[in-house]
This record gives sequence, structure tokens and C-alpha cells, in this order.
Amino acid sequence: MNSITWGCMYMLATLGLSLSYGLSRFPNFAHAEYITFGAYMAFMFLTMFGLNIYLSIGLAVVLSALLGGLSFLLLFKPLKSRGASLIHLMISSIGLSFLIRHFLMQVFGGGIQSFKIIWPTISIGPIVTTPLLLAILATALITAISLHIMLTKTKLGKAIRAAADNPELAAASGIDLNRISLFTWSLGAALAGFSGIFLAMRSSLVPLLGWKVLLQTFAITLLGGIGSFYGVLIASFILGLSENIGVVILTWLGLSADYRSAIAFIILVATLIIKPEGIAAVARRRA
Amino acid sequence: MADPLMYLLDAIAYAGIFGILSISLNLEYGYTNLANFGKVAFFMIGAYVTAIMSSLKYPFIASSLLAILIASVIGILTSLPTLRLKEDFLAITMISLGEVMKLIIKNETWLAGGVWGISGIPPAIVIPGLTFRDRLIVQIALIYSVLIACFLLCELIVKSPYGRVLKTIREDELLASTYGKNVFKYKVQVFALGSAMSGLAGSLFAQYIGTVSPYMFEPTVTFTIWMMVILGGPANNLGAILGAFMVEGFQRSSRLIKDYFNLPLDPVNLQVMLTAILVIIVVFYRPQGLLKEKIKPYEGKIHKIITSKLMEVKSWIHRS
Amino acid sequence: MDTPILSTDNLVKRFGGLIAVNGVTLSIKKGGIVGLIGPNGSGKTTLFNILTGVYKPDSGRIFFNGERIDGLQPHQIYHKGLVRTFQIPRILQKMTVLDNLMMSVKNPGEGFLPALFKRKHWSKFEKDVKDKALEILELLGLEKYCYVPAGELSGGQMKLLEIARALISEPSMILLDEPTAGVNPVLANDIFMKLREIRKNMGVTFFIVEHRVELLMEHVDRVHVMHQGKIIAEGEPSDIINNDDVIKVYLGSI
Repeated sequence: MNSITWGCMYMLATLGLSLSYGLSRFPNFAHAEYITFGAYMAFMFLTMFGLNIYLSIGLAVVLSALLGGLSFLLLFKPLKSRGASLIHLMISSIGLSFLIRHFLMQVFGGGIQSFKIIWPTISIGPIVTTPLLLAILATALITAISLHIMLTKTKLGKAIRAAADNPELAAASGIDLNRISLFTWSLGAALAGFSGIFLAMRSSLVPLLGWKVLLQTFAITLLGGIGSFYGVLIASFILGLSENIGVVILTWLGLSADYRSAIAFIILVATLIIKPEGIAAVARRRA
Repeated sequence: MADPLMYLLDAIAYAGIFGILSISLNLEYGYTNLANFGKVAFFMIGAYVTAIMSSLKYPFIASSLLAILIASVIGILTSLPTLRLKEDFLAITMISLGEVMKLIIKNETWLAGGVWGISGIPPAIVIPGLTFRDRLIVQIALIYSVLIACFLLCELIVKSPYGRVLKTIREDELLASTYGKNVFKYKVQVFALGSAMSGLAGSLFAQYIGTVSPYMFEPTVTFTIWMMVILGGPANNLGAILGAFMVEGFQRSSRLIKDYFNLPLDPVNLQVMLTAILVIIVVFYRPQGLLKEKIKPYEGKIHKIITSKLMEVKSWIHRS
Repeated sequence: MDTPILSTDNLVKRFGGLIAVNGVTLSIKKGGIVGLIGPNGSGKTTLFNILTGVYKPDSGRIFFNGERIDGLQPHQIYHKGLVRTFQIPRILQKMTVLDNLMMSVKNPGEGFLPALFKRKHWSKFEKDVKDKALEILELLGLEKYCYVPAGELSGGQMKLLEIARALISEPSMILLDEPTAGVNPVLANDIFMKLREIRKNMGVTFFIVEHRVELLMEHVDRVHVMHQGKIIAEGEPSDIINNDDVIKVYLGSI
């Protein structure tokens, strides 16, 4: 059960990264900060503005989408049109990540905050859970299903898939790459913000919230195949499961549970060694 | 507020150490287009090896040599899976490596003092009876000797057929391969050398500060070094050193602003945010940095390289 | 001279669902100037990429000078004496024209330790290579550009530099991918004349992707025709021009 909810959270956190990476052809290191941003925004609306929780979350997600869209429009799109190299794009995304993170630290202080919500336990049959975990599951499920429908049935979705596969061809066929990219970036950041809220509610709210899962998001992106929606789905749960199994093994070996991230690292390196294109490539080959 | 002279000397020492780091990154990125986003990991390894060795009472020579060795070995091992792939994979792996390294250090208290680090690292050169200021100057002399040595080493490498191959790899790997260059081998060599230099810089850092702790090796350090290389001018070793000075100065000033302007801002946050904005501006408007790459043909003889370098500096000063 | 310098045996290469090279078997005699023609997308460049190790064939074998070379990496194939040029010139823009040429030659200064310590040795080698480079540049009319950053050359000049680079390596065989595309007809003819000279003096074999019929007729010994990944015809230029299948293939693709 634990693995499933972690898988859900990772999925929400990583979808944006993988999709924007596939579309814009570079890893956005600032993506982790969209996660942190969403969490802090929700916190702000909830505790400082006193809004109710649904409104807080909603506003936070919208603001995250805005952040993602703006970072594309104001930074990455202009850079790309100036012919910035891959490394330039990566470096500026790292710069952006520091900018966002330290801005948040400045406004909210660098310490540990908490949503201070106590979730009642709910028993469904043999499973003991809380509304938070159920919400995580529900959000992930709804996201997965709606994205699946969008990608396969709508014009926009098909355009996104075409653009991710072959941008030049897509552009030549009249697809507006900029519009698609803007949409993908905003959506991805919104999902990231959402996952950040869940993450912070589940543990605590710190400026490094997003950065702490950076490794995991990249491991999932690579394992699933960059830009692959279904890849992210599968890989998120593989990682969630592996981490939980890994933690069990770690404690059995007497090592600290902090090494959780090392598991993601091992998966990352293993993917690069064995099959850098990820699961998506394997699936495509078979088709 | 401490004695301004000491502060300045301290800044000079830092700039020197970061100069070594910049030159190593310049070799990796400026000449060979390797996206080493985990520089701080090798810096940290060098510092910690030296710290551990000196707590075991080994002299600096031994600990720095071991630091260089271990840093370069780890550099080779971690780059092997990714050097055959595109630069973004290297970047991702390297950032992750830095984080994992920190994890290990924070948790393995028996090895490296955990979150408290190791202190009491003696300086490399101990001359009894010196004032604090004189000891600083000795440190600076040591650091800058190493810096000049590294600079010369890199210049010699770069101004040679080997350097030409690196530049070819940077511009067009397929072409390099088609014309007989074993691209993978070159990348590994460059990475090993760059990591070795970073380890050396870490070693110097450890004996300069006297303490090491995991909190000194945040990813912002890697980012700062990248800033130095990009600002100073990639593929120009003098530029790397210049960048080191400028960024160090910039960062110190942004911390000092707090003393003179009553801003409600934490100086560290301000420093990081300004550095980030500066990087973005440079990448936007002048990605080739301040000092451009030299395209003229070159001579093989060492003394000619030195004189041409001095001419470069002279003409740059004249121009500005 | 009966052993062909280059021969392939049923090469196949797929990309996903697309078969780019579909069972290519050919052989080229030493010292020949052989043409390769075919409509766009017939797999010519892919074939070159396979021959030079950029792609590994899914199946099939390649022999060069009697040795199997399929599965080798490009830099290894270069050292066996097989060099190629690119359809769109891959010139190092930030380096001088001269450096572009010097880069192509295997230089003792290219090892890490020799670069540092054997400076006298490679300096002399550099000088020798530089002389040879200037000769070749003169041959192609580019000598006054030798210190110019290569990015400043015109398109036609870059094509010439591309060829010069292949020549200076003194290979046994050169694969030229559309060396005269975009070059004026007089210069194109000159280039082929020079290639013949080089073949005569240095014994280099040429395998050239070339569309201009007059060049093929005038300078080339044999022509292979490729279509949809297969060799559909092979023979002397005059026969190929009049071959019905070849005509259909070209007309069909217009």
C-alpha cells in the first residue's frame, strides 16, 4: 500500500519532467522546484490567508502551472530560439532552480514547517488508511486516466504525441510547437505542485522538498523513457516498490534509511548501462 | 567586522582554490563539452580524503596525492556509464552522484564525522612563529603555486594535437570518430584529469579552512564554478581564472551588501539569487564569456606559449 | 588485383519498422572510381554509415582489404584505411582551415603523455603535416584561407575542405557522399579530374555518391544503383544510363 501511494506521488511529480524533457529536449532541473513551490503556495493560502483547504490546493496548483508556463515562456523558449546549447539550457535551469528555492527560503524562512493537519484513520476492509492517502490515489488515478484519454482521443493529445516523437515533422504538419510546449510545461508544473502538496503533507515542508526527490524523478524519467507518459506510469510504481523493498533491506543490513535515494541512483545508473532509452523503447520495439 | 586586509586575503585564497576548480571544469566543459554538474563531489572527496588522512597523522603530501588518486578513480568509475551517451545523461548522473556522496558522508559517521565533519586539519606548510597574516600569505603562496602549475599543465595540454582532438570532440563527436579519434578514451582521460584537479583543490581547501563538513559542499558550489567558467569564457584558461576572481568578488560583495544597506534579506539567499540571475543573463546575452577562445595556430614550445599568454593579457588590458 | 578492396555480403539495417538497407551485396575493386546513384531515401547515406561503423548492421558482413570490419567502431575503421566525407560538410567552424586538416591526420601528439612530454617530436611532425596540408589546399585552391576560421568559408569551399580532409589522411579508400552537390559544373569536373590524378598517383579507391550524369560518364569506371535499400543494377555508366529498371526508378520517384 505504501509503495502504491509513493508510486502515485512520484508519478505526479515526474510526469511534467519527463514530458517537458521529451518535448523541449533538455532536462529541466528547476522542475524539482515546481514541486516545492506548489507546497509552499498551498501552505501560504491555508495558514497565512486562512482559505479552506480545497481552495488553497486549487490556487497553489494554478500558480504552479503559471510558474511552469512562465519559466518556459520567459527563459527556455527565448534561450532555445537563440540557439542555446544543451548545456546552456541545463545550466540556466539549474540557475532557475536556485532562484526559486532561495526566493522561497527568503519569503518563508529556511526552517521546517508543517501543514499541521492530523488525518483521521479510515479503515476500508483490511486496509488502514487516511484521507490523504486516498486523495493521493484518487488524484493519481484521475490524472492518469484523463491524460490517457487526452493523449489518445483528443486533437491536442495527438499533437503532443506527434511533437514529442518528431518535432520537425510535427511543426511541418502545422502543429504549433510553442502552444503545445506551453501547455505541457504548465500542466507538468501543475502536477508537480500537486505532488509537492502531498509530499509536504505526508512529511514536512522544507525548502529542499523538491530537491530531495530530484533523484527519484530523474530515475523514473530515464527508466520509463524520456517523454513517455506510459513509461512514467510504470516506472513510478517500480521505483516506489523498489524503494520500499530497499528500505527494508537497508534496515536489515543495519544501514540508515536515508539511503533511500541511493536506490533511485542505482536504478538510474543501471538504466543507463543496460538500456538508456528506458522501458518505452522496449515496448515500442515489441510493437 | 573583521580586519579588511584579512578578509581580502581570505577572498584571494578562495579565489585561488576556485581558480583551480574552474580550470578543471574548463578542461572538461570548455574544451571537451562534458557536462560535469557534479564538480562539488570531487572537490568534497579531495577535501575529505585529506581530512581523514591528516587525522591519521599523515603529512599533506601523502594526503593530497591520495586525494588526487581517489578523486580521479571515482571520476573514471562514475563517468564510464555515461560518457558514451549524450551530455545530458552525464549531467543527471553527476548531480545525482554529488547528492549520493553527501548522503554517504552524512551517514557514515565512523568514516567522516557525519554531519559534524572533521576538524583540526593542520595546514600543509607550518612555519613556526608567524603572525596570522603571514600564515595567510604562506597559504596564498601555496595555493597560487598549485594554481599556476595547473594552469600551465592545462595550457600545455590544450595547445597541442591532444587539445585539438578535444576541441574536435567538443564540436562534433561523430567527425572526431570518423577521423580516427577514440572519443570515449579522450573523454575518460579528460574527466579523470579534471576530477584529479578537483580533488587537489579540495585537498588545499581542507588544509586551508582546517575543517570539513558536508554542509560546505552544497550543489551551489558546482553551480558557482560553472558560473566562473561561463562568465570568464569557456575554452580560455585565463578566462577561467578571471571568472573565478570575478565570481568570488561578486559573491563576497553580495554578502557584504547587508552591512551597508539595510535590506531585509538574508545575505546567503541574496548571494545565491543574484548568482543565479547573473548566470542566466550571461547565458542569454554573452554565452562565450569575457575572454574568447583562441583560434590562431599555436607553437609547441613552452616558452612561446608563456610569452603569447603574456601578450594576450597585455592586449586584453589595453583593450579594456 | 582480384581481391576487391571492399565487399559486403547481404547487409541489412532496420530502424524501427523501416528497412533502410535491405540485403546489399557489392564489391569494389582496388583502384576503381565507382559511383553510387539512387533516388533520395534509397539508403545510400545509410549504407555509407554502416560501412564506416556509424551504424552496426543488423545482419551481413563487410570486408575491407580482406579483413572483416562490420562491428568495428568508426575510429577503428579509419585506421584500417577507410575514410568518408559527409553530404553536408561537417566542418569545425571554430577552428582554422589548416587545423581542420591537421586534425584528420593521426599525430603522435594526440596521446596524453606524448602531448605533454614529447613536444619536440610532435612539433616536427606538425610541421611536416602542415606542409602536406598546404600542398593539398593549393591543389584545391584554398591555400590563402589556411588561417581563416573554417566557419567563414562559403558552402562550395567547405565541400572542398571536406574532400581535402579525406585526402590528407592518405587512406586506401575514400567514400565521398555527394562531393559536388552545390558546386559549379566546371569546379565539379576539376574535382573529378583531381580524384583521378590521386587515384593514379596514390592508388586510392573511390566510392562516390554522385548524381550528375556527365561526371559519371566521363570519370567513373562502374556505377551501382540503389533503390529502397537494395542494389538494383550495376555496370558501366553507359549501360546503367540506358538500363530500363534504372530509368523507371528515377522516373517513378519524380
